[in-house]
Amino acid sequence: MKKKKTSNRRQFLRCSAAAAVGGLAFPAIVPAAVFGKAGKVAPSNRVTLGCIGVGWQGGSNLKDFLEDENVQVVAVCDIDGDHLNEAKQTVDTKYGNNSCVTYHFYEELIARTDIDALSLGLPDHWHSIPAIAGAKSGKDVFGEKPLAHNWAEGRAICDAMKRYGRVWQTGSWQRSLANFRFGAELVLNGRIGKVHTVEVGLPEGHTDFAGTAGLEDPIPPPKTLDYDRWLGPAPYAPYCIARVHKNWRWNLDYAGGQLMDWVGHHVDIAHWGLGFDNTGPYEVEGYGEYPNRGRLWNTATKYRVTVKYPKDITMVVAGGYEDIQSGTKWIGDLGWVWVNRGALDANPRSLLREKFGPDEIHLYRSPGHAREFIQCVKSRGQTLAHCEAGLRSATPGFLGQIAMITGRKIRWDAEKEVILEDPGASRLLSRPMRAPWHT
Amino acid sequence: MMRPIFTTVIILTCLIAFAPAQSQVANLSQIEPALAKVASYEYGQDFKPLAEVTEFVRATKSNAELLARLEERLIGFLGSKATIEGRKFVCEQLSLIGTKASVPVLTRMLAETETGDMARYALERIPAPEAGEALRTALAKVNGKQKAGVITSLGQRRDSQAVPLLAPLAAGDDPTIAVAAVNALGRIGDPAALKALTDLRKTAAGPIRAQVLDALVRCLEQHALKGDKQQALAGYKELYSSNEAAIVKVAALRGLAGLDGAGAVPVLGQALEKGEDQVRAIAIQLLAAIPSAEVTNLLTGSYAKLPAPGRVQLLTALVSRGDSATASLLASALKDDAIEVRVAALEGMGKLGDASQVLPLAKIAADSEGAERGAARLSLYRLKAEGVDKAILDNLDSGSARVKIELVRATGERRIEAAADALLKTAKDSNPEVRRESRRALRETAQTSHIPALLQLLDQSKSASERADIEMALVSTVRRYEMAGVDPVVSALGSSANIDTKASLLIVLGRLGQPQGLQLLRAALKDDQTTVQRAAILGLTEWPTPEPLDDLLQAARTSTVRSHQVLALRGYLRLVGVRSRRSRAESVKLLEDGLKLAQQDDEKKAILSLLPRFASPQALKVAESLQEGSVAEEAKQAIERIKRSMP
Repeated sequence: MKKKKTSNRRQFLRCSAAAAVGGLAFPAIVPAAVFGKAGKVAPSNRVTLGCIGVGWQGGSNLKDFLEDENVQVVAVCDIDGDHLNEAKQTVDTKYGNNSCVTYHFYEELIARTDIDALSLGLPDHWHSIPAIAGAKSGKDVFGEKPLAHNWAEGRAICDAMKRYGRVWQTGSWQRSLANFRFGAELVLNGRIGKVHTVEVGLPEGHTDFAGTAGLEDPIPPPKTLDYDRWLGPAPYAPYCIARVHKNWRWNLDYAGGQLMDWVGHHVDIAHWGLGFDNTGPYEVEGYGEYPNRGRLWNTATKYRVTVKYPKDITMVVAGGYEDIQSGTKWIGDLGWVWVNRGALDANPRSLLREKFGPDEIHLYRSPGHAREFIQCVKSRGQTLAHCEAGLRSATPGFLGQIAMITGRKIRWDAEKEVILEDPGASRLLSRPMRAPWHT
Repeated sequence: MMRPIFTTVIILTCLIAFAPAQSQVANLSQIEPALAKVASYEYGQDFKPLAEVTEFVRATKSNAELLARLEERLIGFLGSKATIEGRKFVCEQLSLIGTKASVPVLTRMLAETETGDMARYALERIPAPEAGEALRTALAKVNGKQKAGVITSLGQRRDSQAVPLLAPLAAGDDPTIAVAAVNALGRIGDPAALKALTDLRKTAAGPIRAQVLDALVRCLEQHALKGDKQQALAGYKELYSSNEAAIVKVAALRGLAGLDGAGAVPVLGQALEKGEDQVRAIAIQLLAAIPSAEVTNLLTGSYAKLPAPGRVQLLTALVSRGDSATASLLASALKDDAIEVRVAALEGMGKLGDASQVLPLAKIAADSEGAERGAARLSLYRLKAEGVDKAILDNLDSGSARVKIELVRATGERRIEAAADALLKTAKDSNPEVRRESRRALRETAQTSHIPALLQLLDQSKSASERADIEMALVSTVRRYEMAGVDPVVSALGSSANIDTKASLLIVLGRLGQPQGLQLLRAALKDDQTTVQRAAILGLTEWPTPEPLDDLLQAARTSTVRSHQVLALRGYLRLVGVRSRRSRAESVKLLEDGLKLAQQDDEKKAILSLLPRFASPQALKVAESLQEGSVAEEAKQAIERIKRSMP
């Protein structure tokens, strides 16, 4: 780690001011020399990428992008110095040079005019702000699921992407795997007849990913972590170890528990197979069990959300209920298809050997989720997990959370995207942000 | 029909959600003990009282009278000397149920540093106009981040009355306040906000300028949404023709095209020709969405002038537009120097091409590699136009062996049933690769009438891989026609003198899983020839139901050939894993029987991987019995999984 390559706030302000008045803080055309080892793709044809949030999932995404010869990762950004150092080392080792620039402030990275695209690997409460800032500055964005912390922020992301003509890929990577694609194609091509029920089985509980359960005593944050910025738009709360890395998902200020973690996967696949990438349900009700042993990990540990769509389709999304098998199961009047990670099953089983004719629906065969995003950055085509699909996949989760919190059935106008006849529940579609943050 | 368990859950939900509300109508005092504890609540203390109040608020929401009393009580709480954490919690509740009644107390808190944020969060969500007024009034009283927060809340509320207050703040020296104010004006988006931002743009410099332009674009969107099309159009046109950054022009072009449709074609055409990279890219997309021959000509006419990335974008957009006039452009793009252009053209061919593209695509698939080959193949499989299947068949013999291989493969991928006769011939081609692809394509194309020919091919096969291909073709064909072809297979088993053919047919019968097949397989287990015995074990292993479990267990116990014992045990374990109506305990018992015969770690590992599917005390006991020894690690994992899955 070279400290001199890490920017500080003062440098950032100077740099972004220069960029904004038309001066270029960085060369618009990156010299080939900075790209280190020669690859098959000419430097001028590579998509330059900046990665913001390079800890857990963000670090994994970074490695995926590094494997694509069409990409040059030129900068990494994180508010945890340890994550940042590790990411820079990963990038520099891959390219055999010392060129990857590190940033503490995402604004500074986004201000660079020589970066084409961003990879965002941040907690849910940080999804919308840099995504929208990136769109405003002309960057294409690969962002994680669920699309946002709450519905309004998700809608704001989609609007910004559309407004500025940006390419977006949600990290719903199951769409890039053959078994999920095939399952969805079976349903879309009518092989199980008219679908009437979809069962989506998700995990339950609070998985202690970081091994920090119970470490809830307020202590000073480590010097390597900019904790105030980590909180960002979320309400202020004292630092404790169990609040942050890998386990933030279990607190409603930052995420939505297992339900919201997984809607971007298995509900996303359910919607894909139903052709619901641009529409949604009309009614959602849900029941969740919330722990009362402590306030920190306060998301539902066991939940069941029933989602109704037009044409008499009901989807049950559940975590912790034995009758709902993990994964996505579409049930139609001629059979069913079930798909999960590493698994695919159907009734009749002969469906598993189906092929689709030229006149049938063929979903795009992804070369890999990160790679497909880069292809679309170049072609300006629509990604597999485009922004609107990401919002629509997350919406049953957002509305399910509201239904669980209010204890009421939520009626939803999927076209106007409003909750009907329940102003109280409508308040939960968005969340006020801590200053000075806003989308 | 609702499932019983689901009904139960719904009933429980209703009980939990509504029963307390009814019982608590007259008992607001019931939460007093909890509220008393909330009043002294500090971070990290027992959360139970907060949970009680949360549940009460939730349950009360459908009872207007109780709700009003509850709000009054919570307002009173905020006026007490409760802890900051306690008041924060109560503010969260008021953010959900608060009305204008809550505004005075929240207004008082808004001005205080310690309570400003929590009060603002509640006020932002309370729809009453009084909440907006409180926020506007607070603007003059708070500073720094608190002020930025109030500004953002006013923006979130789309408070038009705040515009005169926000405009000077947007032009101020404090960048945090100015950015928040600009953003809020953009969100409010009314004519006054538009004017304020337009004025600001004249002088804004530095980082704030990009924010002003973004806010301006959002203002124009609001105008367009609210029907003020002329104002929005004028704004977009001005932005596009200005010297602003390319991304601003992108937004302006999108706005123009969205409002003006075909009327935007001239300006889009200009952007296509002269725009910066980002502007050109969006112009291509927007033009492609406008259906007219004029636009098609404009797009195709500009193709040759574009750099390679532009050509890729243009081809992608034209293909998504679905205009068949693009076909000739795609054909010429196949010869482009840039591989990404060629791949884009190939992908487009699959969507827009016709029968005349069959041979060119097959040749490219045969002669290229990597992405180009993949795209050519996929397009060959996806071509939709009339006559494509016929063109594939007609051209089977018109090219090199490599082209033939691609065309043969396409018959299978496209499931061209009319190709089966031809494939039976090419399955005897002099080129081994053509023969192999033909056998594989027959899986998808052969019909019941072709079964005798397939059996003949099987008899003539010279290697295990050839036989495996024909086995697959036979199974696939019989299954596809709902087992109508099973009888010829059974007859062939009886009449064939070729031992390898017999073995193959036994495997086929196993996979088909028809009653007559099971008898034959059982008989074959007792055959004198070990090749036949082995094939019978393999056939039974493939059986689709657990019916032959005993046969395989017996073979594993009694076979005199060691390799047959192992194969039979593995087959037995596979069938234990096949779905059945057995109880978990019965399934575990079957696995225990298998374990007694397991001599190798692989079989023990297979048993351990199956045990969690039948999670039960019996399964746990079996897994625990393997904790010591060579499969200890797998046993440990199985134990954990069983414990997690125990009913």
